[in-house]
Amino acid sequence: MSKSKGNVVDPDYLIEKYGADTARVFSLFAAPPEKDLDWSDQGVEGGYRFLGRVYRLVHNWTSDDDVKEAKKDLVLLRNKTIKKVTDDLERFHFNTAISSIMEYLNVLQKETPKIPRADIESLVLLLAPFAPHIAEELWQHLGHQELIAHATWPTFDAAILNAVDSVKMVVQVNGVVRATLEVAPGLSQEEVSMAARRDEKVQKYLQDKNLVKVVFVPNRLINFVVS
Amino acid sequence: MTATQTVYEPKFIESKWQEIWEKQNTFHATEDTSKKKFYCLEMFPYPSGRIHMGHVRNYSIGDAIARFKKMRGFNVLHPIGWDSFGMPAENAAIERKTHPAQWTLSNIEAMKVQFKKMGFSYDWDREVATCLPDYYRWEQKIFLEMYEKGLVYKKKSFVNWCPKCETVLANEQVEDAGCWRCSSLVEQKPLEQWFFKITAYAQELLDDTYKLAGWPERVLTMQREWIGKSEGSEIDFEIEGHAGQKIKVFTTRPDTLFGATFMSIAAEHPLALQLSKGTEQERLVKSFAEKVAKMDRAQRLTQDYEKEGVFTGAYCLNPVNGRRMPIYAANFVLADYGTGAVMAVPAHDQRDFDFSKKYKLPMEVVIQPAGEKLDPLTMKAAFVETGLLVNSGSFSGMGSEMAKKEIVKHLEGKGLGKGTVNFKLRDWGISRQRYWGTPIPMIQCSHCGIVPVSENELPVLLPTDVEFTGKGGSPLKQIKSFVEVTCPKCQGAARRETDTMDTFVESSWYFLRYTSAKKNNGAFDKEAVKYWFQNPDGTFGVDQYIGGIEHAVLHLLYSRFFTKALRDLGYLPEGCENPLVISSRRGWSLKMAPR
Ligand SMILES: [Zn+2]
Ligand SMILES: [Zn+2]
Repeated sequence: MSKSKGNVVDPDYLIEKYGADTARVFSLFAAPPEKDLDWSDQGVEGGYRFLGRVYRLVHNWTSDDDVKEAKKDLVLLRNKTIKKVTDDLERFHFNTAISSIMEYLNVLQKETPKIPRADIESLVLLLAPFAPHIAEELWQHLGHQELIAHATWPTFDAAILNAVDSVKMVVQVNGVVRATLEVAPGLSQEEVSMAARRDEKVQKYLQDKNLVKVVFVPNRLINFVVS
Repeated sequence: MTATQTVYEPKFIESKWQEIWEKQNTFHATEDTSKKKFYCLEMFPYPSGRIHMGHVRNYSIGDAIARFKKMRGFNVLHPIGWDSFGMPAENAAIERKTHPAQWTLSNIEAMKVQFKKMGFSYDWDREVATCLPDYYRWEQKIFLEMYEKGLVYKKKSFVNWCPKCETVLANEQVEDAGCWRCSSLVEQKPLEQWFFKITAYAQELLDDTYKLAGWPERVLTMQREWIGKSEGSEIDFEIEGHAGQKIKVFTTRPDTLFGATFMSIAAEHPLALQLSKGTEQERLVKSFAEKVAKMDRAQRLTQDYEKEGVFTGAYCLNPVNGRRMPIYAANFVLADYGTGAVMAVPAHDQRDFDFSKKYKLPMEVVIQPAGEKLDPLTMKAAFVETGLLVNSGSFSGMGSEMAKKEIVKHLEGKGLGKGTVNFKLRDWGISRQRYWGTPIPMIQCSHCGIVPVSENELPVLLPTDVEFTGKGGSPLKQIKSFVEVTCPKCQGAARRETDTMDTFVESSWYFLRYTSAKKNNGAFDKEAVKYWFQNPDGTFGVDQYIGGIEHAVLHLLYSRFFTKALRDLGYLPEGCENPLVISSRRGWSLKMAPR
């Protein structure tokens, strides 16, 4: 039974041997929704091991009393992961959502035992839509009286993501550098153009001019050709 | 902090939380106007007995979305139910000697246990099973109201008939000329059938495909093709020697009318026999019609068979140039498609071209491509494009598009034709000669004809004391206590309708029933529909619909029709036109294993 069409496998066998959470994580992780689900023993084992690692990490975590200051890159990773899982859920990209939770777990494991509560809780919250039983159990273990089903989805701080992630965008008018903007990566020509036009140094060279064309190199440069 | 074990034991954890969720009724949804709603709809399963991995994935996706949206502060409606009428239960009854009801209900129980073990966050208080009277009674009521409104009628029509299953098959249930279930060769059989008048909404259903957000483009394209709108004209051809009798055709190419050199009519067309009667062609036409009747309808719609025909011995007259056109009975014309007759223009239609070569029929070029001259003697294939008219009297020299309008105008002036719109869409045949379905609430009285069951007699319950042999058509026919009734009109002895409804009817409105599944004085609550379907911008629709794309075309088409009918019957809140619009960008894109 190494690789075959998923539908020949009896879900009861999976639930019995690995649990429903593993069956859920496996079925969402193995393939994107529009593709056939291929069955693999390793895939299921992998899902089960992942949940086991989350379980032990949270259980072995006692408190964040001795975490004096959250590491900057950990804060960044938490915000990144929350954003990624949120966006992926909206877009039906369940497999990539789960893999970013896995990456997050890997990093947190290396920090053991000095993990801030915010990270431990975010990990459990992000897991809740996929593996709700283990998430409830760990949420309770972390001292919450309320069900995780009623808990609030974690939010990310866009400012943190932008600050670290920003790129330097060179703004030229007729090929002469007039300003350098710090913007979020991946902005469209329109977004950069708007930001550049708001800049005073740029504005005065564009005033009363006819725009002939715009040259745009994503994440690098925008050049307004005017006459 | 509780000192639970540090070993991950899913069995212990999972049953613990499932019990807590159940006890606290965690996923019960109530209408709360202070919160934004999120309706997460999943295609409800057929209760086949056990869930498979396709279910696990489909419903895990829906559950991830539902739980995520709940955590994001939405008031989530996440219901589940059972599409529980249909053939498998009846076949199981025949094979295993269990009653379909018992088989179905125990399957539901088993699958419910499995769903709960998966930890899906359903509001079980809204569970719906279509095979139960508290669901199908409302379907019967809607049926009666549709009948009142003229949206239901009965007519004799040719149906795909599986001789082994002894049932009518939808075109989609015919695979390679065989029954999808048992592979027996499918026959054509004339039968009195109940129809929903879906064609009354053809244009609206087509227009709405351009407003249906959230559905994959290919599903919408398939719907448009299924509806199949074409603009053209109806043209009358007088039959020579049969004064006053005409053959009507529909064509999208009136510009080629001068090139029509013969007429093809369906072998089953009553004219075929009538015209050949008494001529030496009569015997040929008769045996040809019998041969064609055995052909599979679905195959006839494809191009994948030898095009054949026989001369009926009669001629009709081309209304624009008076040409005598021999009338052929042909196997590629369908009696119930369009008018059952097609004017043949061999120079400009490939099928007619092949047919004319085979039977040595005349060909006349009436459309020329720009800067080229077609010669009927050397043409290797029909020229099917538009172009410039030639050999077309006063219309010669015009372009095709202009000629289409002018020729139709000319015919209209002479009373020999008119511009029309044609749809490929046929009315929805909902009669099934099966036991395990919603009984059609109608009575046949020899004195009064068709009489609807009075509303206070609803539901017409499925009788339970039935024997399943698999032979002799619907088992309902054999139950005296069911069949023999008093006519509501004349109080005389009458017979109850024994056909049941296509199960697609049940799946056409279950998503509305979920909003008020326990309502016992109506199909669903208008206010509840309003709450769960209305979006902040005032439009209506579910927020997510998850299910197998392979069911999408017909299910969506039928549901759209049914909800239009419900709208016109006053069931829906103002402005609710297409409840299955999906508000989120991503809807229905899954692959799901067959049920
Ligand atoms: Zn069959
Ligand atoms: Zn009567």
